[in-house]
Amino acid sequence: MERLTRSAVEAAVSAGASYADARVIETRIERALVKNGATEALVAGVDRGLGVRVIADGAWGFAGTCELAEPAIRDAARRAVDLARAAAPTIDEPVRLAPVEPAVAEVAAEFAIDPDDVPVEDRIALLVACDRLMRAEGVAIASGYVSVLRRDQHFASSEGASIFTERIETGGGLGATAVGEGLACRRSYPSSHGGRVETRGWEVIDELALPDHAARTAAEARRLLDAPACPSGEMDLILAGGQLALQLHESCGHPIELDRVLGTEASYAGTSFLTPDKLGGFRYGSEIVNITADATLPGGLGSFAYDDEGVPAQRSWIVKDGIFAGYLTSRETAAQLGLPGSNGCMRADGWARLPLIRMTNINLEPGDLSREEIIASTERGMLMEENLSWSIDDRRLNFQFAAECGWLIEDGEIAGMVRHPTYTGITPEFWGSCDAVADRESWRVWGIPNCGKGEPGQTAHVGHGVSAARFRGVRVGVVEDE
Amino acid sequence: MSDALLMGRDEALGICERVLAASGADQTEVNLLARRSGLTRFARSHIHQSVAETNLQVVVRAAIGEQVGVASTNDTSDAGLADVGERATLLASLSTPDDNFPGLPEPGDEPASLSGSPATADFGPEARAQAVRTCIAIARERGQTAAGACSATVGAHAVANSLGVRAFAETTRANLRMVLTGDDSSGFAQAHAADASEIDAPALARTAADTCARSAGPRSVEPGRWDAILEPPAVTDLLFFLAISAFNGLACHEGRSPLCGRMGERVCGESIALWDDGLDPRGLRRAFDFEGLPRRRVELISDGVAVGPVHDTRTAALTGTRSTGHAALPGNTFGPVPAHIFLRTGDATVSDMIAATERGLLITRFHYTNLVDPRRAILTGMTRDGTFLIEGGEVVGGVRNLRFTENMLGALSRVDMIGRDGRLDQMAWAPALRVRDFRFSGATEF
Repeated sequence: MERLTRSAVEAAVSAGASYADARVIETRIERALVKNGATEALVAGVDRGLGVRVIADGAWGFAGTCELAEPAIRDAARRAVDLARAAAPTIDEPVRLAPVEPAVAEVAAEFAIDPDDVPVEDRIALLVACDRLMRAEGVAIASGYVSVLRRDQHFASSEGASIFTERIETGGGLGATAVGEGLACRRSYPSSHGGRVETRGWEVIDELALPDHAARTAAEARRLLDAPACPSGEMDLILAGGQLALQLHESCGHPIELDRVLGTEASYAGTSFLTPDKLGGFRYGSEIVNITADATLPGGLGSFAYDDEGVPAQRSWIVKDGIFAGYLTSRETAAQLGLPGSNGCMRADGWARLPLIRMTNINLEPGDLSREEIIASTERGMLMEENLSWSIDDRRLNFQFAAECGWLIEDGEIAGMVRHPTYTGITPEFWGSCDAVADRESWRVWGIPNCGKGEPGQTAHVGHGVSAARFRGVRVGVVEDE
Repeated sequence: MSDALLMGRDEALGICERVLAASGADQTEVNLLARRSGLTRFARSHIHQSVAETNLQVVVRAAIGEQVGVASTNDTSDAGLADVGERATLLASLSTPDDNFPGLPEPGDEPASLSGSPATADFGPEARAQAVRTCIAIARERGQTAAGACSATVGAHAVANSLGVRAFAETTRANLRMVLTGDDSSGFAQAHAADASEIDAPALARTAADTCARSAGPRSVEPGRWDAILEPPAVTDLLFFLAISAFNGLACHEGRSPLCGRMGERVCGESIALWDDGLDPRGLRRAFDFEGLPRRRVELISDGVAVGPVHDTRTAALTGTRSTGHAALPGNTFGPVPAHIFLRTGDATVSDMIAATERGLLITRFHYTNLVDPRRAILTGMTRDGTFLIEGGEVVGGVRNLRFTENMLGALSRVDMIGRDGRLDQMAWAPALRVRDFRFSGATEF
């Protein structure tokens, strides 16, 4: 691999690049889905290629190729330089990069159980067993899935970096859908976005104990058919699990991407209300809201050793005591903002894509109440845990979410189930209403394997560490029944 | 000498044949997808990304009885092709039977022959940069900043299976989309075409610039039910989500579609006719699906009556019908969806709609639309890049953006004016609509 990246970098520099880096990547993905008793997907994919990124005449260029022979690689490097030169006449200022110490490193994947040691037959048998347990509860659709991703990557730059990285991601989960008169109600375990996915081995699946949760998941889907619709009005809202993770993702994770803040996503995903004048002084949330970006969390789906610019993984404050404290940055955007260096958030969706600023693990730091204490101190409210639907405006202010299931709370106790709950709010008002965050006991990192951004489209694997949090006076029940 | 833009029929099907010949499965299917693409992305009135990609993917579906396995690779060496076929067969042998797998399709009608556009193949980085510079210049003339993307893709797709299906096509796609931004407003324009020479960059930039200028100084209006004129990009966005949830053959079979049990019933206004047609030249044409079967025209809503859905061979067998040629790439379990949607035009212009509206809103496009409750066809999303207040039959100025939460079939029941011209988004072509009492559930600050 190193020979290929070196060759690409040398060819780019020879063609006139003032800076070049290259990544050669081989990815193997295995995925199994058992649905209603049948193996509906048993898939194994291999994908490999090289991407070379250059600065020439002060502008960026990038080319990716699946052909890993020397001539094709050198051709890709020359094309990247040509692409940069085509862009150069439009730029006002040449690209500048914040400094980074060129790293030379080899990083091995961390896992306890190598997924390769778990035969495909055993994976299928696990899912078939879960499927039987779910269908015994009478749901229309029962599904279970596991996935394993292995990625080997070498990064080299014209500044002298040479980094080999091995990565493993393992994940799985269950879904059950009950169908009734005019209704389809779904429950997931442990999360609706890819189940649980972590940068560890098969121990992730073992720890999930999928068969132990199959019957309950399906039974709750069936119970939802008879549950009342979500009431409309204002009430206290407790978010936990995958729903709190996605709330954090959409209303904090995206608006702190500095490329987006500086306008490079303006025509597609949008910009951000967290403009640079707000850095260090804007009240994002209440005083108990503390948010970090941490790419060093063991097992986190947004964890890595080095980003795709060769910057080491870091932990930094995003919101400290409710005040907006920091962005996710790249070497270019850090330089634009006058920061001393990047905090290492540039990642690409494989060899064929240019790195963009992506979330790492964006975490709501734990508070000091137990989850049970938060529920017990809520007079009238609703608990939502698993996401069903999400939408937010192009500056990340007005959001609306639907969850799979709501649990009404009355006088500090769970009083019943609510079908198809929704809520809406405005980001700083919402986080400003946060009056309780649960402690580390219920805190865990949730992986989101489907974060979209950029043109051409890219999908990132990111994480969010959350426990549970309460928000006062939130508008729930947004959908009108017709 | 081949006149192929990227890869000729013989070469593409030749690769497929090599996999088929080596397969030990009962049935084998090969999809070959080659692509060469380039994209020029701009923001703050300069180009910040200029990228290119070359890739070739082979996806093999192998079946042993009713056991199915799928493997893919982009290594097309002899060893790579041998490996992908062996992996697919091995996975099939390890799979549990899918009782609903009807077998691979037999050869049938020959798909229509479509070819790509040389102009798109030639739409390289210099030409794209020139188009972008034109847009930036128009934005600067108006005191606005420009952001967007300009892309060109040449693709080759071949499908072959062990029962004799053979299909091949070269496709081209070009796209220019932009948002021009002023102090407190923005405007949007886009064009998709198979032939890059059909994209008129100056005209698009002027449209976006005009929208931006006209929506400056936006005022707040209260959410609630408004008569809303939806420009084509807003309509196509809604139709896309309706199509994938309501007319997905698998969703219908599984009870997840809002049209479950309602096929043949009136589900919206009589003026609404919606269909899927992969060969309509107004769209980005594709002659066959990922099983190599011809894409057939499918009526989805006919004069307000639900008619669809679309099928692949598996969902067709489940419901006792034949495939409509809408199979997804093997490994995708979402189900077959319409991908070339058309909404019947009417006889109004957008100006007519505005003139006929006493008090309402004009919506350029939506942002981050999503299904809130697919079973009930409820969507939410935000307005963006040009939202206007109409009073007394005239546009009186821009308004701050609003969130809608609306039942789509209900909204289509309240359409009382339909545009006479349509526009293409990637997967849908639609005219503007005026919808009575469209429900806006919230607002934002800009």
